[in-house]
Amino acid sequence: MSSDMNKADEMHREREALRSQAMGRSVMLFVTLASIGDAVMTTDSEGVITFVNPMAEALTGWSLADAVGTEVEEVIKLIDEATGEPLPNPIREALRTLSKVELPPDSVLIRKDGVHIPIDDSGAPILGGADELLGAILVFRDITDRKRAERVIKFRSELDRMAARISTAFITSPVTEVDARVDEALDSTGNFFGADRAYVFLYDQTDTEMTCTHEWRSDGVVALRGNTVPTAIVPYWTELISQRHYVRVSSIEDIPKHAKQERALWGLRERESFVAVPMSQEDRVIGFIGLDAIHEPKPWPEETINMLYLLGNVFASAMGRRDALTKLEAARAREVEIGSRIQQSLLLSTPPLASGDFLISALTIPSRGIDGDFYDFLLHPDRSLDIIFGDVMGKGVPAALLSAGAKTEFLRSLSHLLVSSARGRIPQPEDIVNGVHSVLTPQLLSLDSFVTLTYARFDPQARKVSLVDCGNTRLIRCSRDTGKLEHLSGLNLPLGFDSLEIYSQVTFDFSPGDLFVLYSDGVTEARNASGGMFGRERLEEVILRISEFDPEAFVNAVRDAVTEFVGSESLSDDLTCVAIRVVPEAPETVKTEADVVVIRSSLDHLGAVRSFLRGFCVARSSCGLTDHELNLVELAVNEVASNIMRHAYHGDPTRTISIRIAKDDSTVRIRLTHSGDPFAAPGKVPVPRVGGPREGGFGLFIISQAVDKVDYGQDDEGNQYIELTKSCGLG
Amino acid sequence: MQFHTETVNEVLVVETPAIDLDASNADDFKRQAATIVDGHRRVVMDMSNVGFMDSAGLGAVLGVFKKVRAEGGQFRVFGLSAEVKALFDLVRIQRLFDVCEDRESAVLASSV
Repeated sequence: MSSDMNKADEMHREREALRSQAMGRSVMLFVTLASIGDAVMTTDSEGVITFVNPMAEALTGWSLADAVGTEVEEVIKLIDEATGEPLPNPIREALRTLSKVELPPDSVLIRKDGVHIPIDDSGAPILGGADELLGAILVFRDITDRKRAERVIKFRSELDRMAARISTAFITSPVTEVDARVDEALDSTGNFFGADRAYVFLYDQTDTEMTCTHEWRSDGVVALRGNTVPTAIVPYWTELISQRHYVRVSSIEDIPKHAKQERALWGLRERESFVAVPMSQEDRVIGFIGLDAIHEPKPWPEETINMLYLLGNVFASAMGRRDALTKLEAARAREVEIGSRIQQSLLLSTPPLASGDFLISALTIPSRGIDGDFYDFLLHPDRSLDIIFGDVMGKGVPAALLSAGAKTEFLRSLSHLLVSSARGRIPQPEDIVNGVHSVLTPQLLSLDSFVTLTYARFDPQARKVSLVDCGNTRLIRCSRDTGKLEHLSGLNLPLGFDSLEIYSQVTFDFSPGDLFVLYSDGVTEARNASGGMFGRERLEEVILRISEFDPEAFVNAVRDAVTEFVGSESLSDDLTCVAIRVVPEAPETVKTEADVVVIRSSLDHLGAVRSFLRGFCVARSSCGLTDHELNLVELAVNEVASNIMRHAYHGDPTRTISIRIAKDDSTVRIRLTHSGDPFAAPGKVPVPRVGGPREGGFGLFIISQAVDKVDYGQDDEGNQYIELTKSCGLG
Repeated sequence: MQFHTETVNEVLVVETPAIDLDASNADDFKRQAATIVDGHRRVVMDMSNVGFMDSAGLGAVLGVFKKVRAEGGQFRVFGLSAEVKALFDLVRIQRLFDVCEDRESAVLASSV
């Protein structure tokens, strides 16, 4: 009996020990589940909740008391983050499949109060001893922090990709497309950071003004592009930018108290927040890039600012490269301009204004490059006229400079010979050319260059032209009497070919009324689009067509014929042409005395216009005009010439004005002819209000008051003229 | 283009350069003269070196006059050549400012 008792006690003790052990385990398990960081939920085999730990309470929003006894679907509601579609319940799945269930990565738990919480979870069945299904367990955790970290990584990598894309676009684009690239970059950056406007402001040279040069903006946002504002309206921000700091403002608190102007401006509330980051080129801040948020403030995090700094460097460097290229091009254009100016001012002289024996007209159309064409006129005391017409091999500034040197050398040679020759004797052309040759040819030989040249002296008394032809057979005579053309040429090589060459002149006769034409190879060698050359025959046709033998009409006809042939105003070679007409003997019956001058349309030549008029009148007892009347006529002629230069030719100094003055017994008539835009004959000229708002407006009034009659018209050649008539009834 | 100036009894006498004042140099003239008279309330312009003047030159002189007048000052000229006088008479310039016989009368009139 006692052994039975003992046995029973023993069994009881064992049971108690086991129960205590199990209790201990259960308590341990409970305590463990309650305290671990993961949320844990268990259900019975029907999916009714039997337990939730505190973390699960927090994540689901259901307390233990409420949750226990509730169907798991009530408490655990899951959706896919991206699509919003409900996901199968993991506990129900585990109960159904009797195996462990993992949820897709972007699962979101909808808490009781509706808040979405990204979670990571797994469900598993709980099986008893004989694989009896006891229930299921769900373990899940809040992965908000991990998701945020993932988003940051994703954002950074997208940012990096965008930066790389923008940089690549700049590197692979020609500098001419910088503006388009900047606009594109602002577009992607503005969109990326959720701005409403992204823009670039550039400072002017003195940093006193800033102009919005590039801009991207979302729909309905006011444009800034093209706006220029003084930097002084935002002195504090300008100072920050100039010290290469960024400016970031999301509220008035971001602007210090002392920045009064910025605070006042912020009060206008044009935007809710902005960030501006300096753009630097080497040692200078050239402007800034900015982002605006118009509708709601944005914090503009560090990544935004770093990206803007990067963009600033990319933009500034691309703009720097573009500006350098522009400067280089400007320098090249400047060189062409300098060469062209050398040619206009040093190489091409204005024909002598008043030679009673010859009418002279000269024409030059400068080409895109610069040729070495040059000419000069010398009028000697014995009334003979020298013309030097030459061309230095080559193009550009060197050719122009060499031409200027050659031209100077002729004057030096002439004056040298004048000093050493008998008083009043004019050196012969061949002596002058030989003098130039002795100095110039060694230099030309060392430079591998040469000069082709015609030196012609027209002697009106002997009616002979003496010609030294240095390889430049481009002199044509058109006889008035026979209408025949003749190409005059001499014997010699170009200057610079051979230092042993001896230059000699040949002499031809001419008659009053004959026309001589000198032309550069730019005339005969002008090419049209299909490669054909203008040629000598076409030039001869033009000469023969000009029945009047008027040198000015002739050079204009040459210009028109060549430009029509080429099909463009822009020539590849300079076109130079000089026409000299031997003044025909005036028929005795006409008592009119007249003189003509052709001047270049440059305000600098107004003085020459006045001298021509005065010279003509003074030589003829003032044409019967009183001093006061002559002063008024001079004023009127000056005003007409000035108007033609400014309004008919629009300041183009390559155009010419022909001025003809004629006097008979009762009147002096001055006709100014031009081929520019006609300016309308005014009706009655009102008296301008002296001291009125404009200082101009006197010209037409002066003209109308100063002479008796003003006629506007068109001549047979289609040229415009203005003729002034003043009666000189005293005679 | 060189102007000479002298101050007599607080009157600035501006001697214009020896030029023909026309459209080719009027802008230059006006710019320089405007700088010279800047801040002066009594200005007399000696034009005896100007041989000829056209409408552009007239515009330049008027510009200087208007600048002086805008600052409440007085402006006179003297020493006109026959040509310049012909122009001034034509546009009746004396309705705007005094054309004086000589330097003394111009300075005296400006000193009152």
